[in-house]
Amino acid sequence: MKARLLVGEAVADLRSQRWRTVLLIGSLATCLILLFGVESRVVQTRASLDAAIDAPGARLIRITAYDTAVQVYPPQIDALRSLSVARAVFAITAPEGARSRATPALGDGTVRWYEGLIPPQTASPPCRSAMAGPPAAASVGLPDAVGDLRTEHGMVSLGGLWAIPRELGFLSATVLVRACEGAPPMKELVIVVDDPQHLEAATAAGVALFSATDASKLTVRSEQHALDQQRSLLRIVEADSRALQRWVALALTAIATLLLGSYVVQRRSEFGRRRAIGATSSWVACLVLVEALVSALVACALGVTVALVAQRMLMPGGFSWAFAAGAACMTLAASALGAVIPAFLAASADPIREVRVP
Amino acid sequence: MLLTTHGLGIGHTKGRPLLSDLDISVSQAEILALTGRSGSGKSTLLYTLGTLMRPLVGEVVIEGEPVTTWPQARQAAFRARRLGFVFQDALLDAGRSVIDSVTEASLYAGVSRGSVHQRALELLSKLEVTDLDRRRPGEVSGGQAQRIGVARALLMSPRLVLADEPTGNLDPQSGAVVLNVLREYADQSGSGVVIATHDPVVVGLCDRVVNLP
Repeated sequence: MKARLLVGEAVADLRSQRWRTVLLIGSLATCLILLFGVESRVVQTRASLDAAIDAPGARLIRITAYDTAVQVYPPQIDALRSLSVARAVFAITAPEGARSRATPALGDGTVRWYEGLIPPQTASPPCRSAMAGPPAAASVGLPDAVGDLRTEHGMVSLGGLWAIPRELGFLSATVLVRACEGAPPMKELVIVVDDPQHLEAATAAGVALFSATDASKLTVRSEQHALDQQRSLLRIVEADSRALQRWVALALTAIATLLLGSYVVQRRSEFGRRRAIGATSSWVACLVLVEALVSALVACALGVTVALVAQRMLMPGGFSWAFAAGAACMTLAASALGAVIPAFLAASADPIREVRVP
Repeated sequence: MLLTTHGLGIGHTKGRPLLSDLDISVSQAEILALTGRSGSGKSTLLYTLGTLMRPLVGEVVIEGEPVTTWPQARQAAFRARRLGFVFQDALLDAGRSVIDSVTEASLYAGVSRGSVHQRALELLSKLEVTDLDRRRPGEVSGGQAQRIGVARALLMSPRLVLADEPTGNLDPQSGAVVLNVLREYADQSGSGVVIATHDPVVVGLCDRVVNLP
């Protein structure tokens, strides 16, 4: 009965005046869930990559363009289709012009890995509004490729830091568009085949690719460790993501402490009055804790909804309910932890001091 | 006897009591007035009787129980069930409605707000502040707020009501309403009422007066 009264009181308090707490914790929960979503995307990508590589007859071709930006011309895609390659990994070095304040790691000459699905041939009319590629692009479903590349960039690492999904989408689109609009010429096209048995087919594909690019040199070679490199990159990205989640959780706790602490200071008179007319100090402390938890619950619902919509828009297929639940639990735990000191402060409100008229 | 004190010494600093050797008593259905100049310790005595402060020496016994020696949690439970406070300022919850402020007293006694809602409305009606129950404290006058504070104090039918200047913010007519309600409550329930006041009109309506030095 007492617990029910306590929860009812906390809900009524929040309904009356504490929506700012909910909104702030909700926005932090959204960040957390989006981060979890990114990580879940990485895990999914790795799993699908592993499955693609391990499947019988599967082939992985890595196309590396050094010292320039990749131009995913339709003939390349056609060549990959002819090899029944469903997934390709692209290494991209962005041109100097791609450097910006939002993406400072770009344009530093480092090769970055992108992964893209090779879209099946479709009968849909071509659309070239996003990219100004070579004339041959007009006859192939180029936007599909671009779209797939953009949405499959779950493992892009920016100088060891995670970029949020929106940033990833923007970044990759920018790189591709820039590459087509005035990237420096490609110096060398390298095709790396993980399985030496596919070297011959890859060479044929490489010739087709070579003719579609302005590269002056073509190299086709097999490399046994390409996949391992890819996996190690994913592991680094995962670790980065987890580290950032820990920081966000810590920040959430600190913000919850400050926010609830400031509310408690504002409400000292209320807590003093409550104690004067019969509330025990533990009841007051529990009220603050329950208010924090109820806020966090509402915030989590808000956060999941916003993150769901955001991820659907920015990273299709990237939302995982399991990861969202994990983030929600972390938000709840951080809020409860952040409420401990404020609860103690509230419980120590002196009724005499608060009810006495000076 | 409803309330007795034995050799009570009260104050904020040990060794410098504001009042000492106080032996006062309140019997059933009695209204006792505490009077004295400003700073004489009326409010401090009221808070001590209400277990909000511990006495420097002596003890307070309410219905045979030495309440001042109890631990804080037990004192709080006692305040919730057996005592009613009317503060000098009404101290209503600014974020909640008037009816919420009145029914708040029930929470700490483990009673839901809903089950005392009707009684709260009756008390507000007796105190002539009907139709205000959905308003916020900022939307009522100081006098109305004070009467709402009286309703909150009486909600749980306390055995002892402790009122600190309950008519201080009221015009004579409203003050008379409050005093009548307290009188009626004491007579009907047999509860005691202790009022700290400067007002000679209030003193005139009380059964007994203790003048603090």
